[in-house]
Amino acid sequence: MPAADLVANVVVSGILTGLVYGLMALGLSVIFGVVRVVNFAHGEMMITAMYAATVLFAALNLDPFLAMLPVAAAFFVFGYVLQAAVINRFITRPEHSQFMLLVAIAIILVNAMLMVFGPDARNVQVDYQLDSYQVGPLLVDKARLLAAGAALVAAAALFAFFRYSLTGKAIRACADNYLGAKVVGLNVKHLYALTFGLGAACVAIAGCAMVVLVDVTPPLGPAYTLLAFVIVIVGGLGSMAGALLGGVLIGVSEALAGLFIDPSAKSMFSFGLLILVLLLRPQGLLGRRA
Amino acid sequence: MNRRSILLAVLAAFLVALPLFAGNYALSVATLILYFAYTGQAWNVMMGFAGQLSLGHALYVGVGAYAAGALFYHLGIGPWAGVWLAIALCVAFGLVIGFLAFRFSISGVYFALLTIAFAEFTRIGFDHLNFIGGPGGMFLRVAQRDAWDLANFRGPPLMYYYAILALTMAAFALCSWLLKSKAGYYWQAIRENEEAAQALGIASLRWKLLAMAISSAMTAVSGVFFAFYYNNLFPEQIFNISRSIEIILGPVIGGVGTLFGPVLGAAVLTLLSEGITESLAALGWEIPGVKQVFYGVVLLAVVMFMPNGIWPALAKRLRL
Amino acid sequence: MSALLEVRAISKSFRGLRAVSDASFEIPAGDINGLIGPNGAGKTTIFNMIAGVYAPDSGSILFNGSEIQGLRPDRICAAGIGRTFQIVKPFAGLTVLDNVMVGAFLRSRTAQDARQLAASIVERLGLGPKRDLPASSLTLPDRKRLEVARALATRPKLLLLDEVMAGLRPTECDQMVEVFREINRADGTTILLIEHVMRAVMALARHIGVLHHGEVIARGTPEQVVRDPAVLECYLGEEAEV
Repeated sequence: MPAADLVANVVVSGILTGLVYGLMALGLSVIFGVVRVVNFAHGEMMITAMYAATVLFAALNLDPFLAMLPVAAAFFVFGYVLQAAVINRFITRPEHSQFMLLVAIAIILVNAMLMVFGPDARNVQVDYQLDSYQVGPLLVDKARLLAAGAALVAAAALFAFFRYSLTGKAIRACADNYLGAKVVGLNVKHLYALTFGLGAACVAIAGCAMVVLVDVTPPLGPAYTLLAFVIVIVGGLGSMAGALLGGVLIGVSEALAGLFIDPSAKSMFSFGLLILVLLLRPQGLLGRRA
Repeated sequence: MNRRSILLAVLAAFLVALPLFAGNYALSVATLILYFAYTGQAWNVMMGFAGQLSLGHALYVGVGAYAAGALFYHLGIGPWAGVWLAIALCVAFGLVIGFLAFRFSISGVYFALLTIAFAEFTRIGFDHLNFIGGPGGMFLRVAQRDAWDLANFRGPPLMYYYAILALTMAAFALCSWLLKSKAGYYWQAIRENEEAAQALGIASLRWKLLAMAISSAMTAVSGVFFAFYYNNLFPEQIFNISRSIEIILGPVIGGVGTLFGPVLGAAVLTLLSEGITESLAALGWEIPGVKQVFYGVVLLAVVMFMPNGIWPALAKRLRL
Repeated sequence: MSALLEVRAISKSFRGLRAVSDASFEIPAGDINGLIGPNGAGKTTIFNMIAGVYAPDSGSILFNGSEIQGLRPDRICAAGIGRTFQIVKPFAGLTVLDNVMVGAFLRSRTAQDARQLAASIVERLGLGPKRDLPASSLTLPDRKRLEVARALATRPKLLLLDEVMAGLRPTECDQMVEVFREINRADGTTILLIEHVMRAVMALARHIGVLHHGEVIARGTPEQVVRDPAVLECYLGEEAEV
């Protein structure tokens, strides 16, 4: 039985990592919840951001936390264009058609990464990689703390945008009632594209944060896609707080599972949780019943 | 005889005669095409007929492969007996997943996610099952490669080719028969409008489960073939979500719900991808991932410009 | 003669809103019965309870002497009750004939038999020339005919028609009335129809039940019902006392 402060450290580590997961899932929640696009390329977008951060770090020695700005901006544009030019055409098509579209994009993205960067792991080693703060019995990694902090700031900004800005409210109107929004004169296609852009930007920030914590390899793409869906479904579709909460939950449970059970079995736990949630409480912890 | 039957007869004749003029490499490509055509057709029963999008079909290939493979590996029991265990297990899995999903009204993307979750769960689970090799894999002994040993399904590539050809033809015949039967009509009705179907006396749950059972049973056989053709099984590979996606590429590109779709899609995809890999190798480029990017681009193009797949558009053009 | 359908004191509430309250009525075999009432009176809810879409909160429904409340819609169809939907639900991707065949398979053993049954019903409903067209290409009146044809193919003893006349022009309406009269006369099929179009109800129904706020407020022949003060009040409002 591991010592209490080991468990405590693991839990804290899980919470911090979980917040980054939460930001990633937040991007999906926004995309899935508003535009109703099943973004099967979500994890692939995440690793693309991670690779971008490694490139910027290697070439310009740019700290990933600073790289967040240009990468997020680039991803925003990419997301906007993708939705406006491609996905918007699929709104009227059957569900599996749109699904296949994103699967295709996912395949292209992850294998493009494989082609360019090869199968070996890459990461970013910043100066403060090994620094940590001592808080009582807890040893908190500085990098992890910064990552979680960035995630929280981004999430808060997104939340404020949707709550208080006019555009944010317009987007929420589209999510609630597509036809109604059009009737009222909202440019729904533009708003959808904006939303996808925002979701992509979230992923970009999460990716830049994550690359400081883990190594990136191509197979991580699909794994993150599934993780994002697990979090969004467990936390509740349409609930931003649910995405963060779900992320933290998954982060902690993965960390604990890694401690008590076989580390490789930890994702088994996530999938088991997904199955249970889908069957028993499909609206998730904080979501609304459809 | 209408034009379709003529096409079918010509195609069948061509495929039966293929080994007479094709070399070993061409034969192996043809075997691969037929493997994907058959497995795609099996998946098509669930999606095209019953309207349920499964993105975790690798589950059945893997369970089928391991079931028959384990029986052979540990007890020396040949595939003709092993296939029954494979089918039984896969049908059980399929019914459980189907029952859970339909009972709790899970459909669309949620159903797809459920199938993925089950496949992933099983993949990790099998990684921890040591009696079938765990992550290190299971290796079936390869005996002589010259004589046809049908009892143990060992022999030259030619034997495997004819076996998968026979399977594909049987699948085609089965699906063709199903489509025109009461089952076919009922499945289409359920797909179009489940409420209306129920008002006409259709017990939709039962019929959806039947589609799941048939689909998983057919895919189990595919797994058995896989086990005895490739002779090594790794959970990481065989249950991988990329396998599940590979399975659906053929039918999606060829045409979901059609009979010719999976065959056409598998052929187009495999031929073009082999072509690309060969050309790149000739140029000296051996980059991992190129083939998959190509798959992605083809899928993207088909989804965007030929959403119903290549076959419906082609059939119209050729007036088949 | 015992009733084919007996509805005994059924009630249904949706999240606190009482949609149907203690409704009772009987329909003898071979009869054509109408169910009318203002919008929101609970007519479709009663239909849905008979057809098995929901179970009543209380009360019972007897068909041919056996209780059917709470059974699944497909079991109810198998028992002999066919229904149409207020908003038609054709199988858009199938041809007209195939649509009706889906219904025909309930009582036919082979595809051959189903096709024959379907073809004869398609002719009866006047859709013969269009039998190989996709259902999605039909006009609204034809879609309504298709809906009826499909339900008929299950060989029902009782046919529930949910606002079939809505959206039809007077001539089309009259044609439908003839179709139903013929079905009732030739096959002895009992019919229960929900209708707003009074022209059709008065022409077809031998007995009418009037629903208001979920309660049956009047029952009788068409002539009796149109004179009933309770009915007049619910449709036209109270007469102001001067």
